[in-house]
Amino acid sequence: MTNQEKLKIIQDALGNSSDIVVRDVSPSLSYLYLESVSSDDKISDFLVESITKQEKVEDLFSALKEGIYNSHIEILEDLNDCYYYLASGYTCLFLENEKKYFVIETKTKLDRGISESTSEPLIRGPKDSFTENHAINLGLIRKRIKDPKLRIQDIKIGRRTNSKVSIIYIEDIALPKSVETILDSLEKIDIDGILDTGYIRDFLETKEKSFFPCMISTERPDFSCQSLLNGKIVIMVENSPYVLILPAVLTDFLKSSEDYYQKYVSSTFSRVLKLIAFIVTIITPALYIALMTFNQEMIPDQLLISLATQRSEVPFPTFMEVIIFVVLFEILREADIKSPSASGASMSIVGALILGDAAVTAGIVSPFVVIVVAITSICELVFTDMDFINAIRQWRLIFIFSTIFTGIIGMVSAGLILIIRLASLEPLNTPYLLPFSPFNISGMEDSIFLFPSNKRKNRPNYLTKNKKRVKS
Amino acid sequence: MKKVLGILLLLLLSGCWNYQELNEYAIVTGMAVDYQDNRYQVSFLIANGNKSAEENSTNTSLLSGEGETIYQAMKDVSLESPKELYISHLSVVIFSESLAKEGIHQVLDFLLRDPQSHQNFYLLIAKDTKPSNILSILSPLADYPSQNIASNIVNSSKLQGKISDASFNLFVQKYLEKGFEPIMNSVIILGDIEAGKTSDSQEKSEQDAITKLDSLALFKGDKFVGYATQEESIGIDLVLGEIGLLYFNVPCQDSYAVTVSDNYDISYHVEKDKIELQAKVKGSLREVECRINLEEEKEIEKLEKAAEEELRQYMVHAIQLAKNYETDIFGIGAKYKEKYPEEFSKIKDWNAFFKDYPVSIAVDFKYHSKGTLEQSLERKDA
Repeated sequence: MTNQEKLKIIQDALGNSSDIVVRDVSPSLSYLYLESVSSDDKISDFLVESITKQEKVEDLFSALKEGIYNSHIEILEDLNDCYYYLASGYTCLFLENEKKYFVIETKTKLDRGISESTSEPLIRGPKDSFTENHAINLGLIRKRIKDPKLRIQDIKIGRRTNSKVSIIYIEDIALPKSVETILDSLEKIDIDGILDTGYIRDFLETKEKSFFPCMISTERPDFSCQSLLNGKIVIMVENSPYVLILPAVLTDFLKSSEDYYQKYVSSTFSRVLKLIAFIVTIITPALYIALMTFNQEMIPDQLLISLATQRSEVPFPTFMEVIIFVVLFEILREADIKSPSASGASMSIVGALILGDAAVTAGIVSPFVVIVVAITSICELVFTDMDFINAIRQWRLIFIFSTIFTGIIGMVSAGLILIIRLASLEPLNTPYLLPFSPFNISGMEDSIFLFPSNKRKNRPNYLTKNKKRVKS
Repeated sequence: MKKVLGILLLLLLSGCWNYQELNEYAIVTGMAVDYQDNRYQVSFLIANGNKSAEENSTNTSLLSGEGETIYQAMKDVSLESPKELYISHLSVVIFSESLAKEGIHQVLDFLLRDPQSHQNFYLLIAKDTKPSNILSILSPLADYPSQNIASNIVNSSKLQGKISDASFNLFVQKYLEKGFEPIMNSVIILGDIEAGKTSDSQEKSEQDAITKLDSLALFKGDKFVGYATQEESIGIDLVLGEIGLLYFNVPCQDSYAVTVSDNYDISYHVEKDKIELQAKVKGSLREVECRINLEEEKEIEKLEKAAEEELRQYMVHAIQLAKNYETDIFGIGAKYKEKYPEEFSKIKDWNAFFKDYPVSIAVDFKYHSKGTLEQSLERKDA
């Protein structure tokens, strides 16, 4: 096949796309690349320079094989394979009347650099976060764990996007069975494309039907490495700055990577605070409704009179009041996240004035409802995992609705259902309420209470068979 | 889907059982009961009246009604109120003297039986006035009148010996127990009642009228029999052992040494034909008016002897009072019953038996502190 024929086939296949660049260096050598994903500099500095030197040689193929400067070269035969490489920023080099051809890495940098984590900021700890570049992301983990046992297994998912998905674990710590299960379910995925780790979450969570997430998603490489060292498995998807960590239990969402960098007492304190915040943010609006409409005898005298006075001008029933305000707050929050920062200031003025003050003055809600919703949303803000926050919001609504009909009895029933639902979750055969139910002594060292690092000798035994963490 | 439908049905079919908005309640914090011409006159103090101009504060209002039964009277009041009466947060119930003399059985029954009633409020007798007047006197220190009285009882019973911390529960408990008779606090009004009802009075630094807790009222069964004096009230609390801090004057030369006892313990030694009370008291000096040498052991011992006698006198008077009224407010009968159940069952009328039942009293008093001054205040000649 002549070069012209090969080039014609590729150009036709790509629909004569405008970013195709073709050059015939000599009658026997031609190359083709996509300028949108390739670096012109790399091509002219390394590739063109090295191939023009080789022109008069007898055995052009082996001369090129040795003579091209670029470190990453592959030799392919099937023309159909070249599209993946072209889209990844490779340049194809064709020889006249030669079936084999070269693909040479000439990627351009299409990523932002490593930047500070915005969604999970820390005070004390490393500032870097994952980016959209797969190689950099792997590097951020590799440079932290220099163990040769660190395993990175790649599979490609997506008929059209052909995205690289890496499963990362430490071979002698992670349970082989869990790795197998994950690989199995990933291999079964047949989808046109995945653009983020969020796409594969649902394929991995088929058994667990719950609002609560069974995996942590984080953009912190240090947190991922802490999880790897404990025997968890990290899933990384090309072009996504968020990785998934499996399996996750409830107490994992109370943890932060900072916990291990500061004194263990402070970490325990902040975890206890988060646990309180978790309970408060779920039940507060429901508790308010229960006390105001069913169980008034539980309110202290002074507060009762003040509450009754505050409510006397509000025409709506209490639950309407709460629902109106909770929903308004959710909308405000949604708008705040999505809006460009330029309009953020006007947003907060509208939020603070309209929702906070004017609604009370106008008699739409009573001041206490504003306090209740404020407490609820402040407690929600201590969590960073969006899936976890969403689960909290959904359960809060369930609590509110069950309270509207039966008061405190409904609230307690909703609480029981919540506990039952959580206890029945088992991602990768790991009960979700570990280490409390079933009770697991090795997990206790790092759950709500964090033991000092020198006393925390074992890894949790539900994640690994290789238990010793500190050897002495 | 079936499950979801089932849960929805469960929730919806329950309706809104017990659903009541808070602002549809008239929160009753005080209740006054009088009995005239075979009809109960009941007044309720509502804490959340119309909203006053001041932020987050309300005017209280007093609603009255009458009927042949308490419940009827209450429903009569409901006709005046646009909101449902809510008595879960009741803090005081005030009786008129005349009703208390007739017996308060029906009122106790109503308060015990009502499902809203939480049974942790105080019972009082209005001395020399209509009970509803007590509820309408406004106090500048409290947010609403009945709160004023309730917290007054709590604080006074802790800091003084004259008031008994006698809640409704305790009253009923004593009333139902054989060999135990209940007591109640009484309350009086000082000053011009009509002027005291207006809120102008509240803004003056010296009020036109105030409510004040008075001495204890003795009951026999559910019937009021008579008042104790201030001194006898102290004695009653001493014998009952329900005393926190007690101050009393110990005679010393021709004036007094004021003593505060802060550690009080009483034990009862019941025998078939007599009872012995042993009180162990510790206290400190608060005010020494006489000029004695406090550094001398002897002088202190003398004072301690005088204090013991003082306390003993309080108790003797209290017991004498109870014997005069033939009512065993100290629960000596209950203690007798515990030790000699058979003999107790043979006694037909314990209160009559109690009248002639000898009670001996022994008091042991010790000073543990002289306050912050070691000596009595005196100029030293250099």
